[in-house]
Order: sequence, then structure tokens, then C-alpha cells
Amino acid sequence: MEDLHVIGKSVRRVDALAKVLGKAVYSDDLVLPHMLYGKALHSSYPHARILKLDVSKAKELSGVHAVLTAEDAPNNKKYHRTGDTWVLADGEVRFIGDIVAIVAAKNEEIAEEAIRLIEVEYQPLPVVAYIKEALTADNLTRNDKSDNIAMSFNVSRGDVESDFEKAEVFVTHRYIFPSLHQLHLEPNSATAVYGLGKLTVYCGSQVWFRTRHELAKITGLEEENVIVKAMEIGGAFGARNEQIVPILAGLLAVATKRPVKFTNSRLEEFLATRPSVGMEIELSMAADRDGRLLSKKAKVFADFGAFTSDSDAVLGIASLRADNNYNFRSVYVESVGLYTNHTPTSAYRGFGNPQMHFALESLIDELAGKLEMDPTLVRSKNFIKPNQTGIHGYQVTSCGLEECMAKAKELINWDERIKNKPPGKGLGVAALVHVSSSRAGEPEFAGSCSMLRLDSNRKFTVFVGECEMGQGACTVMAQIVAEEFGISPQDVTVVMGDTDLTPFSTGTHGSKLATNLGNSMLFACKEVKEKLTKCIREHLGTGPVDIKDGNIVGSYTGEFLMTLAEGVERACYANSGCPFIGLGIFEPKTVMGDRTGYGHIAPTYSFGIQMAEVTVLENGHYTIDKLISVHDIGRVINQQMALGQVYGGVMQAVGCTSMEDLSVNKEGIYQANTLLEYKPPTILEMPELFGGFVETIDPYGPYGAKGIAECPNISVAPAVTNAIYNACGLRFDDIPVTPIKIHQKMIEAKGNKGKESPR
Amino acid sequence: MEDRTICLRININGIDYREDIPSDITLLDYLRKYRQLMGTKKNCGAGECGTCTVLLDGRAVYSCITLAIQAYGKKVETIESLGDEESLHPIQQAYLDAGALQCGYCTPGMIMTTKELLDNNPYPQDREIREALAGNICRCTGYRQIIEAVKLAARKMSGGKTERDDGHEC
Repeated sequence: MEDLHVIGKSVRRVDALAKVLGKAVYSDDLVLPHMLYGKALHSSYPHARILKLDVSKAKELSGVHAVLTAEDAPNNKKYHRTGDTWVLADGEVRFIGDIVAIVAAKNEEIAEEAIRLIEVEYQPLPVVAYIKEALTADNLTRNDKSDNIAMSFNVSRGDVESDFEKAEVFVTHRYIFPSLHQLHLEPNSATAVYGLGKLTVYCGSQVWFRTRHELAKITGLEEENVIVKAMEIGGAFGARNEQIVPILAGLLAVATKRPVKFTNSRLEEFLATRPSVGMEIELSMAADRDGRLLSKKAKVFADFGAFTSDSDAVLGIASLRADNNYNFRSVYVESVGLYTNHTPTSAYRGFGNPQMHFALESLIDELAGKLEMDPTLVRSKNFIKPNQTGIHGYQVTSCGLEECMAKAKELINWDERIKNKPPGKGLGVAALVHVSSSRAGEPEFAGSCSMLRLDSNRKFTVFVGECEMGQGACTVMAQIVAEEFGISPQDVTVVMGDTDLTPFSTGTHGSKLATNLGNSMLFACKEVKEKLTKCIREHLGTGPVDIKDGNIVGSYTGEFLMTLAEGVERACYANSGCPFIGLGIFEPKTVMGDRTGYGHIAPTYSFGIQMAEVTVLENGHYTIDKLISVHDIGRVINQQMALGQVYGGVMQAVGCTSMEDLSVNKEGIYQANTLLEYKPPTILEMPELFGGFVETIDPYGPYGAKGIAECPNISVAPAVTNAIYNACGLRFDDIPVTPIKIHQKMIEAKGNKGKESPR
Repeated sequence: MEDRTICLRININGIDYREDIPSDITLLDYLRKYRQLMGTKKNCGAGECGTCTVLLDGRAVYSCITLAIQAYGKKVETIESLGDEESLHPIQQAYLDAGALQCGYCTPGMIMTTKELLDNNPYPQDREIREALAGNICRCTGYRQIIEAVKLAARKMSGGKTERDDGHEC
């Protein structure tokens, strides 16, 4: 391996010190003089007409500074690119959590009292609670449409019918992947300040510039007069791709001309943010007797909720991406996005990919069973190979699927254990593919841009428009600068997210930062290096110089000339104090998907293998004993942080596989509105976790690195359900798999029609 | 909405306070709004997640479901009472070294619960660590590196000893 100074090392996170000291400042920690507090009135009906909305009593309450409804926000309906949504409910409400009115008052108690004084009269309308109801169009979720279909498309590659005719083995199944709550622990909070015609909003976001854009649209201000500033972010996982809270704070600040803080309660986080897109997937697959996958047919029904958020893009990804793991000869997918009276759904770690992977990887397992073939072998036979183009146009460069499989098998001792399996024990496997950055967001451009400033005091400051939400991006950028200049990452300041200071960015999504932003960071470093060494050569009379290990050395002799600090200071002074600024642009050679989604949408792709070991008891209880998660993410930039991503992603998936459930009832009401009911995994549910990496050095990644963040959350569910099948012979096509579900299936399997169903 | 105030006497991080507060204010809101101690984080407000954990006379409590007045005459320790930049508390150092944090929102509460554990049980076994931290949810780390941090802190605080007197490995 090359001689790298900090890349690949378990460097301490640059934000860790503030966080262990309790000194990291999150949005709700900000307090400003004369600040008001915002609260919202949410709809208590999943679908109803607003017959009367009277805010007069609330307005009269002493200490109340503003009460706003849709009437007070003329650009209300311009929210979001799809244009089918609103910030404040207008004339009717379409989900529980739809915001009817907002209030700003001198303290939270008065704001809450004002909310109680708002009088609303509703006329309940029929509710569409489930995908199957939405399909019938007996009831409508919105009065401006004649059905509940938000979007539909189909994609066909190759000759599906002919491949199905030629095939010898067929499998088909229907799968249900529910809507999930991302559950970042920090509730959304924003503080907006309006004055001198400018609106400044302090918040956490994955998409600073999109938030700015939406704020400008809704408040009617010019974008140049809106500034979004980053606070520390307490997790995001896709949920902060789209946020209402900064807009509510912004509207109230403009109306009151006072700073307004709006912080969601946990209940509001559940009801009024954007959970993930629940899907029902009908899948058929055809193979030959040797286990070669020939063709795949899918029907995907997606629950968009009351509006199209980024659910349309999520459905697009779910429909196509998982196919790129294997060499199918043909595929056909028919996808329908449906309106229901639920909270609108959107992005969650994996962006639709976990949904289809659950279906596909479960069905491949069923196929392996039919073929009486080891499930690892069926997969290996069909894996896409390095430097191959996938069926949807992904131009794969590095691909370590084979190596990941070998490593995972070794870690779990697959070959031995699958043969000599104690009763009740089971092993399961599933593969995964994901993008390492993606063209999603702004179709016009695919890349990233970084700005690096080196000041006379040898202070390195990075300015980028992406975000640090806990995944470690600041540290990775600091490591790259540190590597290039031979300094410590702790000496690099990273500014992520301040729309006045940083270059534009589409934000943080698609596991893009390591590859896209990392590459642009390298270019920015190169430019600063060139400018600095040129300046030293020209102004200090040293002859050609290089930067090595934090020093300035002669280019030919390698001789030490001065420290980097001295060199920077002298060069800067010789240059009238001008800092050295580098602008790095990375423009990957990607190809935007065409109308059918065919394209090469990422500079490179990440792959991985998940394996699970479970124990299923005769009463239906089961434990996930072990999870092995091995990833090809190119060069690992920070071993400790990458493992943290793996453990964290896998545990989130343990949640949705075995516990988490928003469970909507037929009235469209979420029954899990608290953490106790939603049941995210605690430390007690943690199985033995093993993370591993296969370091294919990717030609397009910085130092060969690819993205990791979303990958560990993909394909854990099928690895576990496949292991459950392996343990007890029962196949589960919907998650979460609970002991009661297993027990009921056990009873059904025994032919007893469930009289002794347990409670 | 009634202004029913009550006089609170409390010791926070070694300093005595005496002041009138609303009778229904939670300890969490008191710490954040009256004492500007922002290190203790608010999330569920219902005793379900542990981000607001502080020590009350050495016991870890959810400050979001503890009334400030319940802390009358008691000692409260928050994350701010531990180390500072120059000298971190061994638990804080262990969380740093083990990489046991990502977004950091659960970290102050997690560290305070760890302190309660290690103050009372210097050589905890894995099972005891899990039981102690079961009331603190972390959505980012998957917990594994947190367990490593607790073990590391236990070693640091006991001068590198890894066994209790009764011979159990920790």
C-alpha cells in the first residue's frame, strides 16, 4: 500500500470533543434576545374539509404575536418541486399532522394556549388508508383528481417474455415493506431571524440550498435575501432532505419581525415529518436449472402519503437499482405511486433500495431452495463483475462482491455451519448494491465543489455546501486536507452549510460525500499547493519547492527549508496578506438516466454482503444472534468511523426487520406515535455485530474510496428472514417479523387454524 | 397558565442555587432555560429515550419526567460537571477513543448513565453494561462502539485493572 499519512487511519472525529463535552450547539440550543416561540395546530383528521377556521381568540391572547393560516401565506402551494403539496392546509386536511395554523408567542406556554383557542370545524371525508384501497379509487385522497395515482411508469429491458419461456425454474412472491420512521434523535428545530429585508434561518438540514430555495418561494423573498446557517445536526438518515420546520419559523419571523424558534415535539416528528415510502412488491423470477438468473418481473406499489414528496424519486430507485447486482438478461418493472391519507413519505437511508432488496434477495433465496443449491452459490454465479455495464446502464468499475462473499462466509463459518446446523439455528445471506454518490437532486449537474482557504496563520478552512449530520463527513474532509499537507486533521476547520459562505451544493444524499466531495477536495488542495509553492519560489527565492510532512522542502534535494507554518506566513505576507484559495471541482463522467431510467448515474458503485445467524424457538420467539456485514467501499478512509457506519446502519435495519412499525389503522391513524410504541432497537437488542471491508481501490474514488453510509441499512432484512427460513422452514414476506407472526405461521403450518393463538 | 411559583434549593454541578420557579417545570427545562445548561438534550419528553439523563444524588434520572422540585435539596450532575477541554473525564476520553458517537445527540445522556454505572460498578460485565444503558437510545452507532467505550472507561478509571476482586473478568 502507498505511504499514506492519515488516510485509512482511525483518526479521531474532528467534532468529537465538542460532543463529549456537551458543547456542540444544536438548533434548539440557540437562544436569541426577544425571541418568540412557534407552535403548530395539526389536523386531527386524516381527511376532512375545513368548514370553519377561526383564529380570532388566539390572536387576542396576550403575548401572541402572530397566528398564520394558509390565507396568510400566498405562496403556500408553491412548496416542493412537484407542486402538489402545501405547507399549511388549504381548505381541507389530507393527513393527521397536516398543519392548519401556526402561532408565534412570547413563550411556549402562551403559544400552546393560543393553539387551543383556535376554532376549527371539520367535515370528515372518506379515508384511504392502504395501498389496496388507493388502487380501487372508491374513495379519493384529494378532490382535484379522479383517482389516487400520483405517478406510474414501466420499464422493460431485453426480451422478458422470451426469457420466461426459455426458463426452467420459476419463483414468484408478494412482499410488503412498511413505512418507517428515520428517527434521528434530535427533533427538527429552526430559529429564524428577519430584519433589514433579510431572513436568516439557523437549522439542521441535508439540503441547505434547497431549504433556502423553499424558504424564498414560500416567504416571497428573493433567494439572495435568504440565508441558511448550519447548526449541529442530531442525525438525519434522509429525513432532513425535506423539512417543514425551517419554513414555519421563517414565515413567523417575517410576520413578526422578531426571532422565532420552532422546535418539533416527538409527536410532531412522528406525524408531521416525512417517513419512508412503504411498498408492496410482486416479484417473479425465471432461471435455468444451473441457477443462472434469466429474467425478473416486478410490480411495485408505493405509498406516497398525502403528497408527492421525494417519494417519486424513491420509487424510481426501488424499481431499478437492485437489478444491477446481477446479470439478468431481461427485466420488466411496472411501478405505481399512490396517494393515501398518510403523512407524505420520502427518503430514508438507502432511498428505496432496502425495499426492493428485501423482495429480490428473499426471492433469490426461494429460487436457491427450488434448485437445491447453496444460496451463496446462486448469488455468486450471477454477480455483476468489475468493469461490466449493468442492465440499467451502471458502468461498474471496482466490484468486490465475490471477495465480500468469501470474507462474510469465512467470518460466519458458512460452509461448515450450513451443513451441521443445530436445530432451531439458521443462516441467511443477502447481497447489495448502491450508488457511491448519485445524480439525484439537481439533474443539471452531477458533481461537487469545494473551497479551501489557507490563511497566513496556517489555518486551513474548508467551505462546502454538503452537511455533517453525524456520519463523519467533516472528519473525512479534514483527513483529505491533512493528508495532502502533512498536517493533523484536527488543524483543519470544516464549514459545512452556510449558504452565504459555501459554494452551492445539492446537499448530502446518495452516499456521495466520500467520492464526489472527496475528489473535489483533492482538487482544491492541489490548487492551494500550487499557489503556495509558486509564491514561495517566486517571492522567497528558494527555487522549486514541495510540501512534505508539514514542511517546505526543496523539490530536487528534498532538503528541509522551513516549516509549513513559516512558509505560509512569509508567502502570505509577501502577497499583501492574500490567503491561498483553492477551488476544487469534481465533475464525474456520469450519464443522467433517460426516460426509462437507463443511465450511469454515479461515478462508482458500492457493494456488500449481509449475513445473519438466528435462533428460532418452538414458541415463535427468535433471536438474531449474529450479523456479518462486509462491504466493498474501495479504500477505507477512516476505519473506526466506517465501522461505526456499518454497525449503526445494520442496527437500524435490525429495527425494521424485527421491531419497528408505524402501523396505520384503517382510519389512517398511526398507532405508533411514541418511541415506546414505535420500538427502535435498544442496546439490549444488539446482536453480535461484525463489520468488514474489501478494499477494492476504485479508479474514480479519492485514494480509491467509495461511499458507505446507506449500504449497511440495505439487505439486512432479507438476510434475517432467509435465516429464519433456514432455521424453521417458514418464509416471511412482510416485516417486521415478530414472534407472534412466527407462532401463527407455525400453527398454520401444523394445520391448526389458530385457536391457540398466543397473546 | 397560573403563575404558581415555588422556591427551589438545588445544587447543580457543585454550585448551590435558590430561586423561585414554576411548580410544574421539569428538571430538564429548568436546567436548559434557567441555568442555560444546554448540554442536557431534549427529545421525547416522556422518559423513553434517555437524551436528557442527568445524575440526581448519583442516580441516573430522565430529567424530562422529573419535576425540578423533585430535586429539592439534592445534587444534580450534568455533562458540564465532567471534564473540560484540557482534562477530559476518563469516560469522555473513552467515548472519544472508541469512536462511540456520531451525531452526538444521545452522547451527554449516554455518558451520564455510564458514569452512574461505573461509579457503582467499576468492573461491569457486558450484560451489566447493556442493562445499565438500556434506557438510552442511540440511532447512529448501533451501540457496539459504546460498549467498547464503557469497557475502555472502566479500565481507565480502575488504573488498568480488568478483573474484580472476585475474579470475574469485566
